[in-house]
Amino acid sequence: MEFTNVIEMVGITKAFGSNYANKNVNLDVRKGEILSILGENGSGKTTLMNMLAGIYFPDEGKIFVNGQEAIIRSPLDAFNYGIGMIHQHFKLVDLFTACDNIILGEKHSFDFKGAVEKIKAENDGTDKGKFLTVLKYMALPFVAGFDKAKFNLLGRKRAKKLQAEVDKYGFQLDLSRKIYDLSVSEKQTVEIIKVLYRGAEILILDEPTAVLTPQEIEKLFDVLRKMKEDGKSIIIITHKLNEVMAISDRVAILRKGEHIATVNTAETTERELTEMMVGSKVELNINRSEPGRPIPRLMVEGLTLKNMEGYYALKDVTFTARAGEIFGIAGIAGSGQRELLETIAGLYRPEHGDIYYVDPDDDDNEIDLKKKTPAQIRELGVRLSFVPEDRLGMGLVGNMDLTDNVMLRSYGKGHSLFLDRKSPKKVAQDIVDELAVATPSIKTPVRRLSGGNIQKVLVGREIASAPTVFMAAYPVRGLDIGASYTIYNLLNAQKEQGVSVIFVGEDLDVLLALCDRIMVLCDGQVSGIVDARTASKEEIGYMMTSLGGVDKSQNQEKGDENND
Amino acid sequence: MFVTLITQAIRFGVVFLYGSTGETIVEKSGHLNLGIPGIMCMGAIGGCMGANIATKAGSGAFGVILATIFFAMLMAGMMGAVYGFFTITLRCNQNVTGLIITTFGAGTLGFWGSMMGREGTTFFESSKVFTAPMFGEVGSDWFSTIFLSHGVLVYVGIVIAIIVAIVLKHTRTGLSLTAVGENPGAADAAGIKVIKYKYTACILGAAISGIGGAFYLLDCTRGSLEYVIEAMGWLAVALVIFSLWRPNIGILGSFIFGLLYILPNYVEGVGFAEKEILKIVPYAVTALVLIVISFFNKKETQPPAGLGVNYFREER
Amino acid sequence: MTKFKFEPIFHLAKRTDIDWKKSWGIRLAAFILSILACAVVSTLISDRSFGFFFENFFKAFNTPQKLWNFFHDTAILLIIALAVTPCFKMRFWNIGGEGQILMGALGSAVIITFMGGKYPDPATIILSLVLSLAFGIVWAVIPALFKAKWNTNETLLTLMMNYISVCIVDYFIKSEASSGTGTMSFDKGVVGPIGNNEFILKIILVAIVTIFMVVYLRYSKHGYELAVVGESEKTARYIGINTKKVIVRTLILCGAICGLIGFMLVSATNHSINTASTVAGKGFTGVLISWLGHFNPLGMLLCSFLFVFIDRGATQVSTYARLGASYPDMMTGIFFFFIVATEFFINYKILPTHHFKKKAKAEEVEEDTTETEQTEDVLAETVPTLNENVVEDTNSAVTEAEDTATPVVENTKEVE
Repeated sequence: MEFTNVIEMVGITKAFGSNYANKNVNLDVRKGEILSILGENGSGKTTLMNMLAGIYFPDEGKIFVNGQEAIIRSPLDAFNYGIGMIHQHFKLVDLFTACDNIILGEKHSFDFKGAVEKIKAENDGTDKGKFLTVLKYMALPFVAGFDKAKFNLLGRKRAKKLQAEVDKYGFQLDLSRKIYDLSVSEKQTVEIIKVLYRGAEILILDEPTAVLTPQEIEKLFDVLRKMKEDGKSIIIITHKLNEVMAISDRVAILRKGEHIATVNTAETTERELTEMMVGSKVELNINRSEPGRPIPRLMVEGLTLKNMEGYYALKDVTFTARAGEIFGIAGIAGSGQRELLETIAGLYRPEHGDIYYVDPDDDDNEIDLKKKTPAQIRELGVRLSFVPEDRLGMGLVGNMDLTDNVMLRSYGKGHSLFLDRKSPKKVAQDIVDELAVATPSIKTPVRRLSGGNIQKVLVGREIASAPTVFMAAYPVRGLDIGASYTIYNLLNAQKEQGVSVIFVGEDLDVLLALCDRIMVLCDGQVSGIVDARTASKEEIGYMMTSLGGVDKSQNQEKGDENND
Repeated sequence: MFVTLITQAIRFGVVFLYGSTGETIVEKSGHLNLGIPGIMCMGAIGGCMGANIATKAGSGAFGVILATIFFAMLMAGMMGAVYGFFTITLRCNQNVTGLIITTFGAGTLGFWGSMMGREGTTFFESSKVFTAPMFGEVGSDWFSTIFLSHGVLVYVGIVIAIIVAIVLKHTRTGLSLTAVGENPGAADAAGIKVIKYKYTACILGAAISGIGGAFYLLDCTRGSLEYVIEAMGWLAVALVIFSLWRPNIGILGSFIFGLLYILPNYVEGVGFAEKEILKIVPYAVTALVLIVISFFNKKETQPPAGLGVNYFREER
Repeated sequence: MTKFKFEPIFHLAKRTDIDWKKSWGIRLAAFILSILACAVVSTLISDRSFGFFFENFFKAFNTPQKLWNFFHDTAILLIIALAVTPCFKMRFWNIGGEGQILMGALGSAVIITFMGGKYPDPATIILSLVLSLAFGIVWAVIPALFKAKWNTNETLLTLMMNYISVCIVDYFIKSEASSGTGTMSFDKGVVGPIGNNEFILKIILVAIVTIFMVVYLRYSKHGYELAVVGESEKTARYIGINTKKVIVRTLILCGAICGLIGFMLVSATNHSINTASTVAGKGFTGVLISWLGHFNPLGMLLCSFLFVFIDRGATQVSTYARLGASYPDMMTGIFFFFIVATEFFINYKILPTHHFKKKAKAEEVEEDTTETEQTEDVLAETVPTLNENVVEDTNSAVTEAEDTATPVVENTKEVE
């Protein structure tokens, strides 16, 4: 069979500082296919695609589009080559309507050649005709200018005109709405329409399914298949195997910035792909001991939280985390995991519900944590540790050194007006020694460390405060296997010391192997709590996508307002 | 008396209008240019020099006006380019760069003014072209006095403001510029040449503001160099906020600012000191507008989201 | 479509690891270049020779009196920069130093007007200090409250308040002293010279404030908290810092120092108040000094020293060559342009791409071997995400300024 390669990337290398994001990558994309780019977080998928989209420029290597060498220095160049990318973080102007976002940056050029041809054709050779021809030539610049000015004007009915075109594709979206009013999947739709409207023949989608519900994913895949039938080439970045198998024709696997292989989806299995993706067989050898004395440690009852936009981020969440166990929380990204942990940590004030902490230092008395600030919680003597999802943005201060970061949570102790840097310095040194943090010294700003080491510092600090409840949100996101195992072992060690560990994860295999019980969240509500030793991946997956594992259509009327 | 007040208010307001129209363009591209006062000073130098060169060369009123506008825009545009170079290419802090330009511009105008004074160069002669009513002698009824008796640059300023308002609201160019100021990353991804837009906005905005400086010296003060333009420049920056980044509102706002600015001179029965209190009003009103828009927090009336943040595509 | 045949010859990368010696070396070079540029410009715009500029420039420092003046001006500028520094470290763009100082000056002027001569001088002085502090604090806290409550844009609000304060002070002057010159002078109830030296007291005061600031920013809990708030509001929330309280508290400190400056200017230096000359743009210059000194008191000391050096030298030149009062402003403008431009070279690396890179590659390999222990994880995807969050959250112009602050903070440690 003959294939035409629309894109060939040869020997692409891109480094950030001394870290290689991509190293000598070769990749080709065929016309009319869906190519998955598979790799773990941090394997260089997005960087590679950003070089096609003109966000980054490769340090070395060549890119060929339709067989010709292409130099893509900006997104505009990429558009000119027919490459359009839908970024994971949507590149939309919030203040504009969907329509304005779609037509934004559209170019128009006057067809001089066509106009000249037309004038030539109209010349009938008579004197009058010749005279008219000369006149027409003279008028040409003005016609062109007028044409340009007319294009530059924004018609009042632009949204309506565009709407008709969009409806033809089968998208359901009111283009006159402002972006800040749209849901995530609607924003994604806008991005896709935008790229199509600009005449892209090659579409790159960066983790398009991460934020979508299963129904929305199905819809998206239908759209992608339709576009493929139209002869467009589609590149989809993902790390979800089931999606790779479902949608793609071929899979390119990246690992640590290097291209491992490109295989036909039909000729491979999930297992084989996983092996290529992670490098060795995934035998999740996470030790799991039996929980010790599982007494309740943290009790959450009927927790309800409205977020800033006025929607319910959490609805009636009830669970009990016990001492000496790892309590896992699963769910599609954005189902309320972050809000739940942050509410417990005192960052949000819930609308309803209670949070009780059973204090082991005080004869197991219950302490109400509801509507307490993090500082108040600390003053109550509650030893609550929290590793937030956003490490450098929330858990640590990038520009401060290790010592200053270690004392972030404890600097306020005592009544002195001055800081005590002595003991934090010791703690920082201990963390560096015990967790083998690769850093020049404890005076290095944490921003300069690599992701795994940053996470070690953060987790190390939270453990150093001798917690009784340890909450961690996606603690292994973006870490390599080695660093991930360090974190798993730390969590297990905490569990064995009788700490109640709450672990929010995204990899179901890890959750099933590490946790004792798993609570599944769906759309801010508890879909169910299962025993991790007996539950199956499919069971949890189903609970993630529909409340309680029941068909979603029966639960349609659980509107936000009804809950009031 | 009342008619004179209104007429003068329009005249002085146009100084603010030039400044704020220019600054609006710059701010729409995501750059807060606190150098506008300095840029207006530089524009004034350019304008005065242009006017004198043209007058000496013996050109007619039209030539003098053209030369003035050209040189004012050239000098101010050069400062705008310097601001752009520092903030866009060198990615220096915008507030710092702006304040430096204000220091430099005001210093240069002062220095140049004293040099002119020593040389004995005056601009009274060339300023006559600008103070002369554009439509020739008109009737002395209130309508003609208020609307038709101004010099040519008053009308030019209003026309520029209207054009800029239309371009910002109703053209793709305006849409792209707004996108650059709101979310440069998105604009870049949509294929807009962000750097080009930012430079154009910085230079063009500065050039328009510069005409304001020239207008102030050649029309409002009739060629006298003893007045301080800096204060006018800060009011122009205030007017941008007051007008919620819309030059069409700015036309009305400039009139109000002009009125408040000259009002103390026309109010009778008020002491020397109390007039100072009246001068607070434009600033106080602007501060109030600022607080009110932050209180209501409506997305459409906020400053451009990217204001003050320099753009670096490979930021990581 | 294929008209872009040229590859970019270089690209920029943010650098985080510049040697402090190198960074100050670049600045020193810029300073010397800026003096040369001033000389060239002066030669071009006046009919004097190139040598004339230098001859007269240094005459500004040839008598003890002139040197005292020099140190005094440096001290005043330094304390202004110190006053606004905590705000900037918190990424609160307070450019209202000018107005806050002027309000502080007004506080002193009010007390001296009503009490000067009628009551004992010490009482007048103490009361005028108190009122100066109070006025300064009020003027600084207003924008802080609005920022804390509704996130009002503080840059623009403080800018407006500067001019409101000018009008208020003008109102006071004109209603109390009807001389019409706009200046109000005092001879009673002011701080006199100590042992014939009118500068020493203020220099000592500034030294105390400087030491206080170093300790406050580096070793106190308050200083730590405001640094955290400036770095990331999310982190502040996470560890339970009350951001609003920190903003208001920091602005109280800033206002108090501004009030003190106002007191010093009116009661101890000028013995007069005038909206045009009492502060005379020093509030804005202080902002520039603070930023160019990377919020580090030592850096600020050096910057204000250099600034005053140019300013006084240029003033001297302009006196001899009769170039007018605005000439020094022009020269300091040139100086600032040079210094600000160096920030770019300190913050960014210019890297050659492709074929240009081949040469540089050999060196890079060497660097790599020393850092291999750090290449554990590339994190090409997660790091930009995090960075974006930081930038969005702080929503401030100081992102880069803070980045640059890193090497300097280190260098304080070494110096200390």
